[in-house]
Amino acid sequence: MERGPSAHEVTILLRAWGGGNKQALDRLAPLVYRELHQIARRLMSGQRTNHTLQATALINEAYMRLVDAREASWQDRAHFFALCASAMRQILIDHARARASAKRGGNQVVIELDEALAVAPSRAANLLELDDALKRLAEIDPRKSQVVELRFFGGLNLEETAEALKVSTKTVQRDWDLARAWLFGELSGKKQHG
Amino acid sequence: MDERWQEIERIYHAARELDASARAAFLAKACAGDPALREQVESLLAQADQHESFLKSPAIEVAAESLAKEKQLSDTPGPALEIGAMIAHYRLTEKIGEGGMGEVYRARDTRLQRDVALKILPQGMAQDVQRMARFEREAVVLASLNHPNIAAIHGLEESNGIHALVMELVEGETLAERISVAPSFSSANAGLKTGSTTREPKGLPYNDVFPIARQIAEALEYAHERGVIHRDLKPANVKITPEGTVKVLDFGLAKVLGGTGVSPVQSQDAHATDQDSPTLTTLDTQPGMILGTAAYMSPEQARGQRVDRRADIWAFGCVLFEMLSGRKAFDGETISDVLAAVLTKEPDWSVLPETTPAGIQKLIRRCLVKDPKQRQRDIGDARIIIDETLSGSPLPTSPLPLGEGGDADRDRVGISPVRRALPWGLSGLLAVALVTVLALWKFAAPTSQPFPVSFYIPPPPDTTLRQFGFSAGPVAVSPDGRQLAFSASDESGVTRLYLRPLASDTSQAVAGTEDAAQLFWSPDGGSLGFFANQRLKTVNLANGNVQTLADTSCMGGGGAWSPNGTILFLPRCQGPLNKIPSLGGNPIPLTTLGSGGDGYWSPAFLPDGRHFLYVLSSSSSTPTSIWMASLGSSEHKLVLKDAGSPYFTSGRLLFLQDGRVFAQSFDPSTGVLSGEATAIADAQAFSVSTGKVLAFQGGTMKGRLEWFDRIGNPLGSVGPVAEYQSAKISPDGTHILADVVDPTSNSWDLWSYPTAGGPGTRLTFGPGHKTFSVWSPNGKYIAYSCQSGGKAGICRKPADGSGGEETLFAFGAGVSRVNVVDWSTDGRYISFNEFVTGDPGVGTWILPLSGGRKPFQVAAVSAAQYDGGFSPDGRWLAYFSYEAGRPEVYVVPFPGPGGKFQISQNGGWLARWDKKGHLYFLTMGNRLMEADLTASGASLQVKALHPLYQLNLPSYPDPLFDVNADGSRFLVITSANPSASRSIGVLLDWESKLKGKE
Repeated sequence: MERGPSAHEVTILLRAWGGGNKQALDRLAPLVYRELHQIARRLMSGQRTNHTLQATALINEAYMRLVDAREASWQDRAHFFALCASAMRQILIDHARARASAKRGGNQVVIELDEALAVAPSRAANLLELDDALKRLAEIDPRKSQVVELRFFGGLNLEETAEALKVSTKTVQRDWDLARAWLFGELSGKKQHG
Repeated sequence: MDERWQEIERIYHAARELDASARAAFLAKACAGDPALREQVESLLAQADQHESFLKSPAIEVAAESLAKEKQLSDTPGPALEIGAMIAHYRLTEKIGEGGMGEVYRARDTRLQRDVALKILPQGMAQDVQRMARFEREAVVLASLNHPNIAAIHGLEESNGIHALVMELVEGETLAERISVAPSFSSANAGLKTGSTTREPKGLPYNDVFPIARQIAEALEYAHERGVIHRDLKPANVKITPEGTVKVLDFGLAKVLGGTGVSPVQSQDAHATDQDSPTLTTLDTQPGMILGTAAYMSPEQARGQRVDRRADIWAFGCVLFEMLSGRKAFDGETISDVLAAVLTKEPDWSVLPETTPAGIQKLIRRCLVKDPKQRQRDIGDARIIIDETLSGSPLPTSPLPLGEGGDADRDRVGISPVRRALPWGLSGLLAVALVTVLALWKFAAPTSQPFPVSFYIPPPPDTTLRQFGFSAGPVAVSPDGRQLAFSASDESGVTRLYLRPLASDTSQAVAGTEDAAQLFWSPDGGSLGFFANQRLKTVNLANGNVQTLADTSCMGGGGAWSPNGTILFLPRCQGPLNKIPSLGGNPIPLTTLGSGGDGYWSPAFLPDGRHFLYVLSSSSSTPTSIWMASLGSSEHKLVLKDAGSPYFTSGRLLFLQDGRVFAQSFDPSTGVLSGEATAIADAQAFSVSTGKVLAFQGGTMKGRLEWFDRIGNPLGSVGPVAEYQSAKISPDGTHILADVVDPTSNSWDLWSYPTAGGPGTRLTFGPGHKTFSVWSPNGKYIAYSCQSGGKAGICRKPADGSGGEETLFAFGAGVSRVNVVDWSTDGRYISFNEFVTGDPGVGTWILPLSGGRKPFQVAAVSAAQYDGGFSPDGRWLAYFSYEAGRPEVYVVPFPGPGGKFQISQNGGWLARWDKKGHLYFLTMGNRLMEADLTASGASLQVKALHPLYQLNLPSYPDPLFDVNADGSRFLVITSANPSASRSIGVLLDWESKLKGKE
């Protein structure tokens, strides 16, 4: 089985990307996307899940598959997680979209995010709407959109997010706070008026 | 980012840091004159306050959860399974588990009236045709695992779309449960204050750990030998029955049940490694389960790399660590922590009890080396270390010389009970011998009594022990008991003599001994006599010289070497024993042994070097008898009837009878036995030394009717484990005809077993023996050998067992036995082998079913002939014969006349045709060969000989196989105890088995 770059190479690429080399990302992203896709597919199709899966466990698994943990630094890990967050978002959205279109009558389904979005039950939001809202947020404030991506899709904590974005944790904290408020308004507003 | 947004952000954050009460005033001032700005900020603030948990759970968690809700619909078994429901003939009686691989029920097998465990496969998997096909293939392999420490897989059932794996139900608690309830003793090394009530994790009681570990190791060893890796060994997968027997559950299931729910398309591009890692694939995704699995995962599994048996060895190390310490070797609160620990951290060695023997600590460390290349390689080695521990101290690795040491040494403090218990010179051997132990011995409490130790030694890598049934002869123990000599065939079919010092873990081939069989030692242990290429030879082990002493056409007669340098052997099977000087000379026949039989086999000298024992065989009566005679004297006397393979040592006669080795007191000066005979081993052949070492081959007579494909993959078995002599596939492939011995009456009868499974049908019911049956071409009748009242016959009856038995031919008194071989495709002829009293040669005969039914022969008989299979077009007959000194397969035109065509090249036997006209036979090393033949007129050419695979036949007098119509599957009678039939058994200190019985 072709495994793409070696674990050592992935680590180098991560470091290059962390250092600002955009081409490194071009090489890394498909790899990570593919890996995560497989793990996610497997996890999400796993039977009888009546508990929550840990996003970090998933990304950890991808990390261990792709990266040579012996030579990777903490920063490499953060970069990898950032990359994963983006890939993860794409995977989930693709999945939701596929399900939506698979349903007869084109009804939107429904990966209900009630709990996560913590909106009133009558105002269920869904992942696709969140994705749309995030894109709008990215137009207004790309970094806040990234913070949401890292934290919500990637499961990164404040420190990891800060490292990935090369900003202070305080900034991440503030961005996260405002972005959530803004998105909440977007989603509930859409439901209210839409 | 526009300025407006920056403004909103600035005010928002400022307001967030204020109390709610102060916000209004702040906002009024900050947004003065811009109500829209104020509204936006207030809205954001309200949303932030209201929904603190918004987006706080990462997406995948909730996404997975809602997906799981959908999945439940498709992954739970379609129709709800209720207690009392039937799946095939299994009634569900209780739900006993819900694992990652499906729900598990206790169920009643209403046919066999036993309780089993049913694992219901997830619906998503059951509907995936490709995965089910793969699963079924793997299940066959897993079902073939037959070991007391492995929970057996009985089969796979399907009923109304529900697929269930039928497994042995194991009562008892799991090792995980046992560890979690292990009593808490005050810790010797955990720094606890005396009287502390803190419950520190503690391991199992010390005396429990090693018997459990040992049984786990045995289970792994057995499976590893068969190429099966567990992949998910953990305490939750180990059960301990109330009797203390360990059963390892779910062997190999992590692989076959892995990747649950992955669609076929997805599985195409999925990493192959998906199947190798139990974690996050097979799992039940309950957090505890993931953690439970991750903690025992090897680093290579955690990395998603391909795994081999060393992953099980890692897990074994984890389990041993946990049994001793009560703590997991690698632990963490989340799966990432656990995996990180597996990949990067060392276990906390300090939690192992201080009393843990150094050897065990070292073993665990070696099992838990992260680089598989540096890890403990073989689970068998792990077991040795455990055995050493059980015995009290590590055993030396070099043997003590024979006779060294005395009573003072014996009582020296610190010598382990095992060493003390063993005869001199053997204690050291044990350390090495245990390398291959499949031990029968118990974990003995310290004792000063000698006790027998038994173990098996496998043949050298890539070789097969030459079957003793065909003039190979058993393993021969050197007179000092320190080494074994045996003949084994390598992959190219070349047989050689091998030496295996018991103190070594490897065997050495002896140069110049090609084709060696029937080995016997010189009394000084410096040379070996053997038969090869129709010669009697000797090899001097000191200088490697091979000397040819005489010609012989009887490769199976055996030899004996006296202390005076005389060798006894048979130049011709039918003739008298001959003596010849071991340094060379003319053979002299011993003509004074009477004429009561047709063969004088297996000579063995008595200590005086003048008297000897031999076996008199007679084709008029199947059992052989043991006689005693003397060189230079005409005296000869009967010692024992119905017995064979005599050896005298230590005042006892050892002999074979009914598949067992017996020992009985014997006076070599009078030739009189006294006392009771005591069985000391199950064997078909054996050798014994004065050093109290007994080596044997064989073991159980019981076998299985097992299917194999052309490359030797087992495809499951038909019928029960039983004693079989022959087996034939029905023309339509739906049934197997086999003869089975009735253990109570000791007589043979014919049974028919459906190949699709299910119970067999008994077709014949005495009196006498009914054996060696064949199907009529249309499958409606069977013909077989019917023997009753001393008379042999060929009988026929309907294949469904109905109706009476018709005697097709009754033989006269001179014919002791016949074996029916084949029924021609036109239905007109039956072939059989005839054993005639007074004539050791066996002939291939044809019985025409029309006309006068007068049997005739096709090929001239110059030596014993066996078999006689008709080619599908009826024009050829295949048989094997000893006319060239060793068996070779020949084909002759049928019904003749015509030339004879030799098919096999370096020995061959047991020839079978498929319906396409390919001929299959066995080499002397029991490799299955396929012959491609082309006929033109009356001539036949061997286009090609294709070696297929090595059969592991049991120790039968007539090991048999059959081939299906298109040559794609082979039905083979395989041993019910493969390690016994493929290995050399060694019993140390067999004499102690006689204690109290004489």
